[in-house]
Amino acid sequence: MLFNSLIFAFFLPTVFFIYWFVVNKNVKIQNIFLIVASYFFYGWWDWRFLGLIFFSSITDFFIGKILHQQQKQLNRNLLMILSLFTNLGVLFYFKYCNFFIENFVSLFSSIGISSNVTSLNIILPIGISFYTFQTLSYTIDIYKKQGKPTDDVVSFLAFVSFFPQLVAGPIERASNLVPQFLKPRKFKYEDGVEGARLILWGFLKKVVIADNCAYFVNNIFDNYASQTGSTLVLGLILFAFQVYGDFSGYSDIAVGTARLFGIKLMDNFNFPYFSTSITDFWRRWHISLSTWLRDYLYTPMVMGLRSWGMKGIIFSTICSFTIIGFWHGPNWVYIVFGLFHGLVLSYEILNSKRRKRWKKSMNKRVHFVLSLILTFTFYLFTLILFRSVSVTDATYYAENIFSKSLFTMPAIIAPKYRMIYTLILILAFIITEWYSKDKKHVLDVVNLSQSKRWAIYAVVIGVIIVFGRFNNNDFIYFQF
Amino acid sequence: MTKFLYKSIIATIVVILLHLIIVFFANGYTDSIYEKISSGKQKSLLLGGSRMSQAILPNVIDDVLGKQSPKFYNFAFTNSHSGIGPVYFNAIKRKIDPQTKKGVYLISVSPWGVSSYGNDNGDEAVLRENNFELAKITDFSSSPNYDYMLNAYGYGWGSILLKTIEPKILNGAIDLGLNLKGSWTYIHKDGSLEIKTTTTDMVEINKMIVKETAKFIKEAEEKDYQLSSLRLDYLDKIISFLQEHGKVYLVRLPVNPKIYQFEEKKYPNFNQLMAGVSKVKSVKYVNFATDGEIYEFCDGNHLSRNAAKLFSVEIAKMLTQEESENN
Repeated sequence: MLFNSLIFAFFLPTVFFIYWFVVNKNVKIQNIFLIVASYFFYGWWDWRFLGLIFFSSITDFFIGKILHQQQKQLNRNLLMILSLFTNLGVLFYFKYCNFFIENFVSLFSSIGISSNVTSLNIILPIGISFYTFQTLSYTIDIYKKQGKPTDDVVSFLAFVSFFPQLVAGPIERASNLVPQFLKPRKFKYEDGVEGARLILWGFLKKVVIADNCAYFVNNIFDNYASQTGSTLVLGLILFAFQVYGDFSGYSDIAVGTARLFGIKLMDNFNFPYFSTSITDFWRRWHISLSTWLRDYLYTPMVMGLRSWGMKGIIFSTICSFTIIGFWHGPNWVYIVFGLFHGLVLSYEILNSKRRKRWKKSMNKRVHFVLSLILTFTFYLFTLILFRSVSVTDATYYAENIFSKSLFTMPAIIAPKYRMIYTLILILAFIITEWYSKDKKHVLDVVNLSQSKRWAIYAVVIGVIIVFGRFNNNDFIYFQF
Repeated sequence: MTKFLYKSIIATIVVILLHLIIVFFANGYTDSIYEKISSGKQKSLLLGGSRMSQAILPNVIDDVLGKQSPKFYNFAFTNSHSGIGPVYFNAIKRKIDPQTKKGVYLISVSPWGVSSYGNDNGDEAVLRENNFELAKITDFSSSPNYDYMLNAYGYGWGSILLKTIEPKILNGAIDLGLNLKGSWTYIHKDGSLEIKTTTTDMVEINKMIVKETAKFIKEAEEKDYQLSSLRLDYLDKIISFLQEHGKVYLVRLPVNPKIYQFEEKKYPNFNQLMAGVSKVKSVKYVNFATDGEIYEFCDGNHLSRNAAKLFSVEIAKMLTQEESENN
């Protein structure tokens, strides 16, 4: 079920009503109801994969319990391997199996060994990368003795399947979410209003910014060979706002929806396009994924490679970011995307002292603007990979940018008036975000008078109604 | 909780009411579909793709034929929306007033309307029109049409207001002397589509016709259209169904000579094929495709509004002659 679908408009109030008025007397029943609602939410897409979520959840629940009771390190290691094997095995089969088959076949054929192995007909279950990482972190925390298992299987199942964040995150930690499911919940007016504000702003990002950009982005990327260099750059800028509006919009709706049920999820974005370095960018973009990899991959690697010194840090950085790239999908474009980010981050780590000196020697504002432009430009170029079907396509796209036509006016794609509205809306969006960058989110208007607050809500709703696109566009991150 | 619910419910009711009201402003500017599926059941229909949508003006035919004749309605969309097939057949069945027995139906036939390409290769589940508006709705005649707005209209409903005032803003800006370029589609009350443009320079228009003609041919070549037996079966079914409600004509509309040459090269037997269908089904087939030299086009493929008026008179004369011959 999509957040931007008509069915969700009926689903959410129904679940809200039953949750707070029918099953509110008992936490366990409330949680069971949330599990049923979440499975219904997911099953609306394809009920066949509900078993996979249940299997993934129940496996880690029991492994976590047994792991906690084990004193012998060997047993603990074996259980941890079992959890890794199960979770990553499922992820590998559904997401990466065909990628490896195809690459091995082409590798062998390049050295003259032909193979009859063909790709498997596998449907990728949506959200698999998100809930697999979520359950995995639970077991790893217990293994590292940084967390205790829960005895309440219902709370655990609710933690894994909680519908607002099930299919595209934020990737929650058991330490944050499970305790919330164990406690009785009382509706707070402030939570409800905050949730509604986040949902409203998330919708604006998705249906106004992302989905309007999507139309032009598809048009430009699908016909990139016949576009001018400047139009291709415009296509990239529009894609940057599409992917941001889409994913951060989803996250806002997810966090806001969870808030309506008295559950606080972690923030996933913090105005990432105002980052002044790639290090800064990854502190603000898809925070739940970057912190997950920091805690469960990067830091353990750095600790393990302590004897390598700086080389160990650089190696861990490049490896972690290549894996971040590969997490997005079984395609070389994502691997190269991650690798580029890892390389630039390594450069930033190696030159941190020199960069500090530059910062001191320059005017603060000039330094800020230059850093912002450089960071965004680098990010834009890596987005070519993110949007392309193959590395070859991405290379051609990049080559076409660097032509004489780069210095011409970009083409206005028909319908012209909609493109002009879209560009104006993006500009207004940037300005709004800029003036809200020190707040929790753009609609954090709690300190304003009631009339001003309602005026702002009316404007946001008006913009959604007039400029929004409601053609049930999937969220980009569902495919990951 | 009460305070939150009270405010949420009030806000939701306001938003819903606003939407319910806005739909009443939907009109021919809303998009190229809405007016046609909110105009009530009809007795006599003009059917086909975008060529038909712009080529025959029901008001002109009605004027020539007089009050005795049933009023015509242009229920043609585009080759993507209304290719001959199950989706369009269903739309026609729901659009026709079931009581009609003496209706007149002109079906525009072109090679493209009965052809398929890509995945759309004979399987009803993957036809190109399945992804478009007509496949998503069941109500083709209510006004306001909430079925369409909820299930097929891809924009926020507030854009209805925006699209209504947009041509006025553009025209107003031009009146003020601003050199603006723009075009928009308008569906008239009789269902015919008009593309209005701010460009009046004939040199520019001719350039555009050359460009659009070349683009049409290039795209048709790339898509590698093939005649579809499924679509031909549906042409047969549609004719049979319409014959229960009145008289049916098959017409091949005028196109730019370059496009006609291309069609003849790609589908050399199309006229014979249609003549065969007309014989088997006992309907008249008239080929106007060679009249491309006589009429002016807005893009090579579609008649201009003025040409459509002239052509509609020709069609009306043909219908009058047929009528008198039959009597």
